[in-house]
Amino acid sequence: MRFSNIQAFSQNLQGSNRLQAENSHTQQQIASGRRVLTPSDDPIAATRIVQVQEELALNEQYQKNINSVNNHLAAEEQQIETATNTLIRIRELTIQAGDGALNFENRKTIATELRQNLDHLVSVANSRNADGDYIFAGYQSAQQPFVQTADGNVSYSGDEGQRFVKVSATTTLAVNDGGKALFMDVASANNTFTTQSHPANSAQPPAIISAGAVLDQAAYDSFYPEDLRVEFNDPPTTFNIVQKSDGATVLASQPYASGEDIEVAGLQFSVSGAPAAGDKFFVESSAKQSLFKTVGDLITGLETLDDSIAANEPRQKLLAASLDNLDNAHESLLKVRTSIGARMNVADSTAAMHEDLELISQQVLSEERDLDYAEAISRLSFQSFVLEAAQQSFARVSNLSLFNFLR
Amino acid sequence: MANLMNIGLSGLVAHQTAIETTGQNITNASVDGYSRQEAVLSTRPPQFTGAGFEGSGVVVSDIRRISDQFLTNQLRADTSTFADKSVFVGELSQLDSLLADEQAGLSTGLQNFFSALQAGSDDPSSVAARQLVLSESENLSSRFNALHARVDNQRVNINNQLTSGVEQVNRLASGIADLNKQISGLPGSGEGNQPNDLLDQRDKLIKDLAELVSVKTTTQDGKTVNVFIGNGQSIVQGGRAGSMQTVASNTVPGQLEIAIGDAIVSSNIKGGSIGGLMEANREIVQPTLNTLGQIALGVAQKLNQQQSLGVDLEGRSGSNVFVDVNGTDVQRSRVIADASNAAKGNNAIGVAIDDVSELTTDDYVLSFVGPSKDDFILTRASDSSLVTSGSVSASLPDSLVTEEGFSLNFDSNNFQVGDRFLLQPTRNAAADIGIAMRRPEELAFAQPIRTDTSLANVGTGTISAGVMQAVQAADGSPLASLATPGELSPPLLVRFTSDTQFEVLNNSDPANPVDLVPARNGLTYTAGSDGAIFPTDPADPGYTGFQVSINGLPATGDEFSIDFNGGGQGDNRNALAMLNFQSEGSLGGGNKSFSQTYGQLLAGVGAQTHQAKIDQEASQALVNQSQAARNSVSGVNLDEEAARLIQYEQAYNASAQVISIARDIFDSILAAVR
Repeated sequence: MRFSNIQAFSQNLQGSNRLQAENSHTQQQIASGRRVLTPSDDPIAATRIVQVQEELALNEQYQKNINSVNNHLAAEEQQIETATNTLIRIRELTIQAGDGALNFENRKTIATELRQNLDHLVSVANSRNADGDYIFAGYQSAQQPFVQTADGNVSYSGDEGQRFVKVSATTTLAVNDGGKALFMDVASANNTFTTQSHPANSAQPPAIISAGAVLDQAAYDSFYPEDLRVEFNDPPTTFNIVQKSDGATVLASQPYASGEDIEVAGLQFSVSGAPAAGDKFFVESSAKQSLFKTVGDLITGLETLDDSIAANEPRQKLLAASLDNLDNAHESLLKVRTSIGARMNVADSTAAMHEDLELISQQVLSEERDLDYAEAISRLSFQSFVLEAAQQSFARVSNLSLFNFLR
Repeated sequence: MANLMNIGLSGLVAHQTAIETTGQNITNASVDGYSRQEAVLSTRPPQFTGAGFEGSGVVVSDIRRISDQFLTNQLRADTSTFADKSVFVGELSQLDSLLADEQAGLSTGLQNFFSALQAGSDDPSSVAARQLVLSESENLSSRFNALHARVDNQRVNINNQLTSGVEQVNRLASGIADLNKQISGLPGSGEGNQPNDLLDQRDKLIKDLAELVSVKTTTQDGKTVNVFIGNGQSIVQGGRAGSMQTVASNTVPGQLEIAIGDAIVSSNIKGGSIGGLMEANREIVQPTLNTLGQIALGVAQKLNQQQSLGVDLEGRSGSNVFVDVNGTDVQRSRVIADASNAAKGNNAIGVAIDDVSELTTDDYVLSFVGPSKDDFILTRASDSSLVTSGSVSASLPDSLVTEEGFSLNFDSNNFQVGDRFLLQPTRNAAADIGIAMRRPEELAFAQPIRTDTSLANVGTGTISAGVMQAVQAADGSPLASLATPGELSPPLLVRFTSDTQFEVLNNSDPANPVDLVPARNGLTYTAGSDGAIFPTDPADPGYTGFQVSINGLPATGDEFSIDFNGGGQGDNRNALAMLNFQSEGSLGGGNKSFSQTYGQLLAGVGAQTHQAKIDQEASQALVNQSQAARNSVSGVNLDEEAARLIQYEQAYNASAQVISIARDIFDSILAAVR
C-alpha cells in the first residue's frame, strides 16, 4: 500500500488523541475513586447505583426513625413506671388503711398521703416529652389532657389517637398511647358510672356535675346498664331525670338547690352552679372506673367514714373494691407497658435488619461504583507507556526522509 | 543534428514540467484534499526519413490528477456519518452529566424533601420542622425549574447551531456552484485536460458540505457536479446553488425546521452535524423535558391531593403546597394551535391533568378531521396511533376524559375541518412547578376525623383511627361531611343494636342521636371481616369520603363515635400518607415512584450515550479507513517525490548534455569547413 505523509501525521494525531483521552479518563477515575464517572460509562451499573443509593438513603432515614421511636417509647415507659410505682404505694396505703388498730384520725393521715400520691399521678399523666407535647393526650398533644376539678374529679379531654412512625417499608410503630387506655379504661370491681355535662349547655359560667358515688350497689346493679339524663326545666328551678334509652321519666320536677345531693337508682351525685333552662347532664353507666376516681373515692371514704360501727361495713367494702380496682389499674398500666416493650422489640429487630441491609447495600454500591485501584493504576501505567512509545516512535519515524540525503 | 538539438530541448522542457509538478506535489503535501499530480511523459511521433522512422524527443502529454472517485465518495459518506454521531454524542454527554450530577440532578432534591417530611411527621406540632418541609419543597421545585432551564437551554443551543450550520451549507453550495461554472467554462477541459486543482477544491467543498449534511452527487457532461440532499432535493444544480433555510415549526413551538426553497425537508435530512443536531433534539432533549415534566406534575398533583385530605395545624382543611397544576392558563399553555389553522388564535382548549399515574411522556395531536367541523381525532404524536375520537358538543364548556391521564376542556366549538393542535401535557411542567404555600402552619399533617370508643362499652370491639379517601364527590363538588370548615357534618355515632347488627346515627346532639338521611340502620356486622362501616362506592348516598372499621366482638349497646379532629396537633396520619409517595408507585401506571422514574430517565440517557459513543467510535474507525484509503492513492509521499526530483533532475541534466553534444557536433562541422 502506498503511504502518504499527511496520513502519517493525521494517524499519529488521532492515535495520541485517543491515548490521551484514555489516560485522562483513568486519571479521573483514580482521582475520584469511582469506576463509573457518568452513567454512560456503564449504564447498567449506573442504574443499580442510583437504586442502591436510594435504598441507603431510605435505610438511613428508617434508622433515624427507629432512634426517634426508641426515644419516644423510652420516655413514655419512664412515665408509666413512675405511675406504676405510685400505684404500688397507693395500694400499700390502702392495705394499711384496712388495719383494724387504726382510728379515724390515723386513716385521715393516710388519706392525706393518698391525696399527694393522687396529685402526683395526675402530674405524671400530664407529663410532656422533649418537644413539649403532652405524652398521653392522643392527637390533641398541645392541650393538657387530664384536668382536675375542685371536687377532685379528673376528666380526660384527650383522644385515642396514636402517632405512628415508619420504621421500614412495611412497618409503622406507634410512639404514644392515649391516656384513656392507661388511666380511664380500667375495669371496675363494681358497676359504676361517669358524669358529664352536655357540650351544648348554655349557662355561663357553666353549672357542673360532681363525679358522684354509688350509694346502694344492689339498687344500682338492678338498674344497670341503663343511662340517665338530668334535664333542667324552664324556669331552671326544677329538673327531671329520664332514662336515656327510652326517655322514660325516673324522677319528675325535682326542686333544684346548688350542691345538694341527688339520689337516684342507688346513685348519689350533685349539680352545682346556676344551670340554664334546657341544660342537660349525662350519668352514664359503665363497667370501667378511672384510676383517679378509684383513688378519689377511697380518699373521700377514708375522710368521711368515721369510727362508728355503722361506718365499718361500707369502709370494708370500699377498701376491698379499691384494692380490686387498683389491681385492675395496675393491669391496664402493665398492658400498655407490655405493648411498649413489644414495639421496642420490633424497633430493635427492624434496626438489626436495616443494619444488615445497609452492609449489603454498601457492598453492592462499592462493587458497582468504586474503583479497583490496583487494576486502575496498572492500567494507567500501561496507558502512559503506550502513549510514550507512540510519541517516541513517531518522532523517530518522522525524521526519516530522503530529503535528508539531498545535499 | 538540428533534430538532435530539438530532441534535447524537448527533454529539457518535459522534465522541467515534471520537476515543476513534483515541486507542486511537495509544496501541497500538507493541503487537505489535495490530490497528487503526475506529469505523463510520452514519446513524440517519429519522423520518416530514408533510414526509416527517427525519434523526435519527448513531450508532456498530460498532468494527471491521481484520484479515485469511488474512494472520494466513500470518504464523503463516512464523514457525514461521523459528524452526525459526534454531534449526537456531544449533545447527549451534556445531558448525561447534568442528570447524574449530585448538585443539579433531581435525586438529591427528592431525598431531601422526603427526609424533611419525615422529620416533620415525627414532630407534627413543631413549626420549625414544618418550615423545613416547606423550604425543601421550594428547593425541590426550583431544582425542577433549574433542570428544565438547563435542558431547554440545550434546545436553544441546538437551534443556534442549526442556524449557523444552514448558513454554512449555503456558503458551501454557492462555492460549489461557482466552481462548477469555472470548470465547465475553461478552454481545453473538453479535450481531456482537467483543471486538477479546481477539481480538488470542489471535492473538498463537497466533503465539507457532507460534514454538515449527508449528500449525493451526480456528474453532468463529465464537468459539472450536481449535489442533492435527503430524498433528491437539489442544493447545487450546475452553476446554480439552491438556498437552505431554517423556519420556525408550524406545529412544535421552539423547534426549527429545515427548508430548501419553500419545501420543508426536515424529515429527509439525515447524517452530518445538522442531522445529528435534529436527532438529538427530537430523540433526547424533548423527551427528557417531557419526563422531567411528568415527575414534576406527579409531585405537585399527588402532594396537593393528599394535602387536601388533611387539616393543618390550625384545624383548616389543607390548601395546595405546589401551584395548582390545572390553573386555566397552565391548561391552555399545554395546547399549541398549528399556525396554519383556519381560525387564528382560536385556542380555547385546555388540557387538565386528572391522574398522573396514567400520564405518559408523549405529545398528542388533536386534529379536526370532519366530516362535521366538530369531529376530531386524538393521536399520539410519536407514532400517529389513534387514542380516541369524538366531537365537541354544542353546549359549552365541553370536556372529554381520555385514558391517558388527562382530559380536554373545550371552551369553544368554533373549529374548522383541518384545524390541528399539538397537546403537550408534560412539556413545560418542570418549568411551571412552583410553591403556592407560604406559611408552614398550613401543611396538613393531620386528618380531619378521629374516633372514640365509649367507656361504657361492654364488648371488646375496637374502632380504627380512620382513613381519608376524598373530600370531593365524583363530580368534583365538596362532600357534605367535611364541607363546613372545622367540623364533621354531622358527627357520627355507631351503635350496636345486637352483637351482629349496628346503626350509624347523627350525633349532633349527643343527648339524642337521630337517624341519618338516608337512614343507615340494621347494618350487619361480621366479626373477622374487614369491618368497614361506610360504603366504598363514591356514588352511594351514604359515602362520606372516609372509611372506619370496627374489629373484635362488640356487644349490644356498645357505642363508637366519629368526630372532627379538633386540636389534633399531634396527629401525623396525613404526613405519613404523604411520606408513602417516597416509595409508592405514583407514575407509569402506578408502578414507578418519582425517583424510580427519574432513575429510569438517567439510565435511558446513560444507555443512549453509551451506545452513541460506540457508534461514534465505529464511524470514526470507518472514516479513518476511508481517509487512509484515499490518502494512500492521492496523498503525497515526500520520499517518492524526492526520488522523482532526483530522477527528473538527472534526466534534465542529461537532456542538457544532449544539446551540448549537438553543439559540439555543430562546432566540429564548422571547424572542418573553416
